[in-house]
Parts: sequence; structure tokens; C-alpha cells
Amino acid sequence: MALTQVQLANLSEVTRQALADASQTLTSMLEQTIRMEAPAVEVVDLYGMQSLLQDPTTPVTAVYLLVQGDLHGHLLLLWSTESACSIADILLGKKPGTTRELDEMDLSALAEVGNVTGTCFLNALANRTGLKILPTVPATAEDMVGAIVQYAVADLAATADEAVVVETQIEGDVKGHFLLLPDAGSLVRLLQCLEAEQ
Amino acid sequence: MSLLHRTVQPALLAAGDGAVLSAGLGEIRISADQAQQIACFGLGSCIAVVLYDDGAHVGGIAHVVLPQSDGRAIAHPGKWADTAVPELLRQMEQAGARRRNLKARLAGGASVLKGHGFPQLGIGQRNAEATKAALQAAGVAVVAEDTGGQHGRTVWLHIDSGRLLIRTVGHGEKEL
Repeated sequence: MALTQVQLANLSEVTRQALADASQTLTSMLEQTIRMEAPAVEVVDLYGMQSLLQDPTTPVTAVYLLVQGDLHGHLLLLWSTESACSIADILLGKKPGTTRELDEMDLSALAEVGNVTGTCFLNALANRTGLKILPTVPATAEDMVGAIVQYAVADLAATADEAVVVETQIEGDVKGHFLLLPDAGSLVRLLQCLEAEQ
Repeated sequence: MSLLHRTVQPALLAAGDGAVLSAGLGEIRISADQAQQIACFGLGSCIAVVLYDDGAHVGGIAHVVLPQSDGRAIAHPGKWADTAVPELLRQMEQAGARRRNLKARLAGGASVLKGHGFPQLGIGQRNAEATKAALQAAGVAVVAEDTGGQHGRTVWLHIDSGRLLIRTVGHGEKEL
């Protein structure tokens, strides 16, 4: 899978705008300033994916959305344990620093944040491209980042050896990462829509 | 800090007194170096198929990603359970292991994502089943396993002793 510079630039641009929408939503939900930086968009070898992770054993709290419709893929919001606890405090009106471990209620609140943020991102992408993009109900996980990302990688590896990864950092009062991994067929559709625009 | 490296790490990482060979996704690693360990970091739905010959002190791990190759092009035999097991055996024998001495241990095959209506018996379980079927077909006994559940695992195989250590986040540590 080789993408031209123009294709990579188009993907960066459309995802950057969608991320700007999503970070506004996140900012108003959490009443904290949240920024999502310009994303890194790159083609990665799926086999190298785990060695691309800084440390696959790092514990994170993840919200996962399976993306269906014209765009099939995986969307992940990954939070450090500390940030996940802060988000739970904010959403459930607890005094800052109260949450040390996440219970079912906290995870459910985090899932909702992920759901709203992810859906906002996907809606922006759908509005821009005209593609039908349908997120499914969110799933959560608290585990090693490698084990979580592996779920998406295994799905993509069934039909390909490479994938495009859109990754950015979530910065501000809470910190995390945003990852989007579309499958190869979806990527072609997305790129076609972006090229048709020009 | 970025989540991803911008360059791929070398497979061989210095680690304390020995050295650690990392078996990444779909990779097969073999060692007869008594100072070495072979590790799989952050196993989720994948399976670490661990073979060890305790006479020759040769060990190997295949990091299996998916159950059945269905005859797809085999540039990466380690990716699929049905092709990884024969290739792991071949490389073990080439490194001096004897098939009749080989014992298999399995770790991984979890479903780490939890959600309403999310399939819990997904790819992890199918990976475990396919791996066991492939080992049975090859006549290699599975002597221990730590598979399934909803948590990730990191495994370390010590080549000198054959000890297999499993670490988790919040689910303790064990030896298989």
C-alpha cells in the first residue's frame, strides 16, 4: 500500500478538521481545555505495529469503537490511568483526586466520552466526504496498550499486511491518544471522495 | 509523549544480564543461547505458542495472530496458527531440538474489550482452538496453558531453564 504525498496530505487535512470538531466536543463535555494536535498519518507494517508502540506493556484505559458502513475500521481513545480517573471525577462530579480505581460507573462514563468524541469525529468525516459512517456501541478496556491495539491489528491482518494509522495526542488537562485504523478498502473509498472534491 | 516510535525497534533488546529476543506479531523466534529469553509483549487476542526441549535446552515462540491461513500466501507463516506451528517445529529441529522432547505451552487468546453486546468468545478463543488443533496434528503435547479471560499478558521464556513467566496488569504474575 503506497500512498502519494497528495493522498497523505488529504488524509491529514480531513482528519485534522474532524479532530478539531471532536476536541471542541471533548472540551465542552469535560469543561477543560483539550487539544488534539495535527495527526500523524502513516502506512505501517502491521507486523511492526507492536514494536512501534513505545512500550506495549504500558497500562492504559481505552474506549474502542468499531466503525462500520462505508468506512470499516477501528477507533481508539487511550488514556493514562491518571487521566481516566480525572475524567471520571469531572463527569461524575467528584472532588478532583477522588477516583483511584475505575468502577463500572466510571468506565461507563468514560465509554460515553469516547462515544461522543469518536462519533463527533466520524460525523465530521462523513459530512465532509458524503460517506455513510456508523460507529457501534463503545467497548472499554483497562490493560496493556499492546493487548488492546492488537484487537484492531488482528482484524486488519486478516486481509492485509499493512494499514494506515491516524494517530494524535490528546493534550491539555487530561492526556491521551487518539488512533484510527481504517481497513484498506475503506481507505480507497475515503481517498476517492477526497480526490473527487478537488 | 508519542505512543508510537517513528522507527521500528530492533528485535534484540539489551535487558539486564541476558538479552531478550522479542517475538512481535506473526514472528517466530528460536534460541539455544542459554543467556537469552524470548518474550511476547502485550498479548491480547494473539497466542504465544511456546515450545521447549528440556534436553537440548532449545526454546521457541510463535506469536500467532489469526487462526486459519486458508491457503493464503505464506510470506508470514508465523501469522496463522495452522502455518505457524509447522514452521516453529521446523525451526526448532533445525536449532537442535528433538521433536519427541518438545512440550508446548500456550498463553494469550484473551478478549480484552468489554462492552454491551461485544463478543467475548471472539478471535482469541478461535486462535487458542486452532493452535491446539495444529499442535495435536503435529503430535506435540500441550502441557500447560494460560489462555482466554479478559486481560492481556506478557510472557518470558528463559532458555536455560525453560521457565515461562507471565505478567499481567492487575491479574498477577504466574509461571507455567
